Order: sequence, then structure tokens, then C-alpha cells
Amino acid sequence: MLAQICQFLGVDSSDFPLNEHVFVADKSKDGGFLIHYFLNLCVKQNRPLCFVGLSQSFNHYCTVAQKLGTNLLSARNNKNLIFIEGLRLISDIVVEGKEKTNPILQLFNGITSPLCNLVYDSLKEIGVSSFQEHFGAPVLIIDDLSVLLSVGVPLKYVVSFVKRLQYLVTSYSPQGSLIVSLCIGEGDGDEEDTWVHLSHLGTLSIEVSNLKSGYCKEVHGQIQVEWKDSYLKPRKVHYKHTQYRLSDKNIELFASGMSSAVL
Amino acid sequence: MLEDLLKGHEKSRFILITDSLECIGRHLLLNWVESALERCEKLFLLCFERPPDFFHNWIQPHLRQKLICINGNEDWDETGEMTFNLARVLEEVAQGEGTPTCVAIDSLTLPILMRPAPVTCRQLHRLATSDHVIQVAVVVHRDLTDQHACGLLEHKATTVIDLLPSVSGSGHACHIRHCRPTGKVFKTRESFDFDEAIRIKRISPLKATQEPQKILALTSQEPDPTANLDLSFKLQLSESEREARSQVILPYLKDGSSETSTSKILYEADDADDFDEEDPDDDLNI
Repeated sequence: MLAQICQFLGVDSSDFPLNEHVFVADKSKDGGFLIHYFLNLCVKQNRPLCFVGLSQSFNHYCTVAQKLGTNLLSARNNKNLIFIEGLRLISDIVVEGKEKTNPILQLFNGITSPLCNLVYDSLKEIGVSSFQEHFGAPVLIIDDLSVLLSVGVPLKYVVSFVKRLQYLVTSYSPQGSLIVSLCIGEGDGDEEDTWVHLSHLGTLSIEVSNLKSGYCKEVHGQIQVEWKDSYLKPRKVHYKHTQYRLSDKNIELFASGMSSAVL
Repeated sequence: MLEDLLKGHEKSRFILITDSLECIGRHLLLNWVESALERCEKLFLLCFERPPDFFHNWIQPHLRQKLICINGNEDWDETGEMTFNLARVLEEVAQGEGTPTCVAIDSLTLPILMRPAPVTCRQLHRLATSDHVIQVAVVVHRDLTDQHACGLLEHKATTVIDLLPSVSGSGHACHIRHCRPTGKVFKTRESFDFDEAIRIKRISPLKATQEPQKILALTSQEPDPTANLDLSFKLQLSESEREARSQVILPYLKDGSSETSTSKILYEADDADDFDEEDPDDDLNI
């Protein structure tokens, strides 16, 4: 799966994403595989990785990674990966006594610092600091941001939060990468607006959506990739498009209309 | 017009570039920054979406010393709210003591999102009318800024450049509305392109084939299937013929004028009626 997606993106699997800010929009509810792709790719590269899981628990990612041949548990034990249980933070909002210091609850009031500090401290814990050159550029992954919008955090604070994280990961040397996924429900104005905001900020936008012609057993959806200005130098916008078919451990990517079922 | 604005031949105090995801205005701003650096002593660049290095590295080396980048993302208060305001740029400009200065902002969307739009507009107005500032160029994303805020900004700007995706493929299109100091307003439509190094090239007036709206207008016209056929009759109706047709009263329809006759078939058309104009008794031998 990792090799196929790397080949489609035209990137080197040993150092991607280097200094890229990747935003993934999932319009099909099937696009979760891209986050697993990035997670496993970065773990395989031994890069210091901080993962904020807002939609699933650690066990979920661990099981999927096992299928893809990566051991997240050992990565966590080796201090290469730190997992922030966002789901627990959200459920703690309603627990008496914990609500005052809850970083997500504070985000409701526009106070982004506690959550950003949590990420900052986590990165520090795995040895990433602004003062020393680390062996690899750090990566920060958030899955998925629409959960924050769904629990009621206003759009402007969500954007402000992402903006600060982007600033945080680029303040290290070598500069890190930010990967954020966002589920977009049909007709949800806030999610769509957040996506436009992120697309303007990002250097690489990936959109996973259903086929326009409806459900198909052989072709599960399509991926549209847009490369924009990189973070440090301008480049011409270019697009890539593919259709995909997911199986248990693998993904088939093919040009539009070139599915083996059609040919 | 675009070339004159970029090179400074056409004077404008406040240039507003409006863009959207399909046609990003950052490359145009880069070109503007470089040409503005040629004609001013100092240029303040306020960056929100890309770090200062992005702009600094692209600019030609001999102009870099005139460029002063201010990272808009560095200033947060202890709660994490963005505290940066344009007033700080104004203060820094005022410290320049009469040096001709330009100001560029890579995106106004974040300041407008975080604070009420009129506050940003007021600060921009103060900046654009400041004595030392010769020109201000600002990018705003149309797809993220509501119409009201866009209207406020356009009202303040002396030149508005709307970037549009060009239908012809690689090029970009723009609509320019420029108000000269004399009060005369120019409106032009131009197309342009960037080379591999993102330097602007091929600025030319927009051709009709490149323009999105005109293409739409053309396709919405009804095609005339008989145009290329040598027919002895015509299918199209002229306006007068259409008018005459609408005057015809169809038989059996209730028109309210001939109530006196004794036996008549009246038929009131139903909304969902499938009205058949053929004679239903055609096949009978009457």
C-alpha cells in the first residue's frame, strides 16, 4: 500500500513528507487509509512523530499498522512515536474536576495554548527540541480535525489552532511537517470552509471522494492531489488524479476508467 | 494596465488582489514585491500564509536588503490568540522618517477571520494614507471572506485585481478596476502567465475565447439545427411570429367571451395534463 501511494504521488518513500504541510479531505468516509499511509510511512522512516488521535484510539491504529507490517507499540516504546489520546480528552470534558484544565474545553473559548503546549511537550518528550538538531524532521499528524468542529469548537479557533501547530513544527531545525485529515460531510458549511482555509495554508492537498456516478463494487472512489507552493519556495501548481480500489491490506490505483473490471 | 501597475507607471496607493483556490494570488504578489523593491527604499512584507524565507529566497539577491519581512504568526498572547495588528507596521513605517516605503500583505484572510473586518479596514486605510507609504498591496481570498468584508476592502482600494481561472488552460485571467488620482475609472480584462521561475510573462488583453463568462453565455444560447442545412422551411420563430402565435385562441378552451351558445364542449386544461394536439377521432371513419 505504501509503495503504491508513494509511486502515485511521485515521492521518495525514504524522506517524504519533508517540509510539506499535507491536508487530507475525506469526502467519502473511506479515505482513512491515507492517514494510515502517512503514519506507517513516518514510523518506517524512524522520524520523531506526534500523533493526535481525535477519531480513534491507539489500539485501532496499532491493529491497522500491524496489517501493514509496522509495529507502533515498539515505536512508542522507543520514543519515536507519541500518541495523544484526543478522544479521552474530549470525553474528559464531562468528567467533574477535570473540566477546568481540559485543553479541548479551553479551545472552545479560543484559548489554543494548552493544546499547543501539550503537543509541544509531547514533541519534547521524544527528544525534539528547538535547540538541538535531531536525527530527523519531526512530523505531527492530526486525525481528524472535523471532530473538533463537531463537538462545537468555532471554525476560527480550529484554524487558529492549526496555524499555531504549523508554526510550531516549522520552528525546529530541520523543519517538520504537518499532516491533518478532515472529514467533510455533504453540505456542511463549517467543514467545507475549514477545508478551504487549510487548502490555502497547505502545500499539498489531497481529496478523497466517491465516484460522481455513484457506488461501484470495483472502483471505490477517486483521489485528487494538488501540489501548491512549497513552504519555502514557490512552485507551479500541478494536479494528479486517480481512482482506487481498497482491499484488506492493499490498494489498487489506476487512471480514470482503467479499472481491471472495466478492461 | 497590469504591467503599468506592476512597474509603477500607473500610480495607485492601495492595490487589492482578490483570489480563490483555483487561482492563487501569491505569485502575482511576489512579482509585485520584486518590482516594488526596484522603486522604493524599503518594503514591509507582512506574511501570514508562508514564512518570510519563502519571499526572501525568491527575491533577487541585490534587492533583499530592502525587504523587511514581518512574520504575522509569531505574535500570540498567553491564551493563544493572534495579537498581531497592522498598527505595528504603521509604527515601523513611521520610524522610517520619510523613506519612500511600500507595504505588502500576503493574505488578509486571517486578520479578518480573527477580528472584525472594519478594524482591519480602518488600519489599512491609515496605512495607505500614511505620508511615507507610496503603495500598499494586499491579497484577500474571495472564497473565505464574506461579501460584506470584500465590499469594504474594495471600497477602500484604488485598484482591484480579481484573479480568475482562465478557460484556455495554462494562463491566468484578471479583471482590473483602477481609479486614477484624477477620479477616472478604468476597467480592463487581461491575461498573463508565469514562467518556470514564477516570473510574470505574456501580459495581454483578454481574448473572448479565454473568458469564462463569455464562454458560458455562448453555450447557453439555443443552437440552431437548421443553420447549416439547405431547407425549404424554417423551424425557428422570429419575435413577431412568436407574438402572433401567443395570440391564437385554441378551440375548446374556455375564453369567457362566447357564453351564449347552447351546446359546446368546454375543456379546462389540468396542470398535469398531457395535452395532445392531434385529433383524437382521427382514426374513426366519421
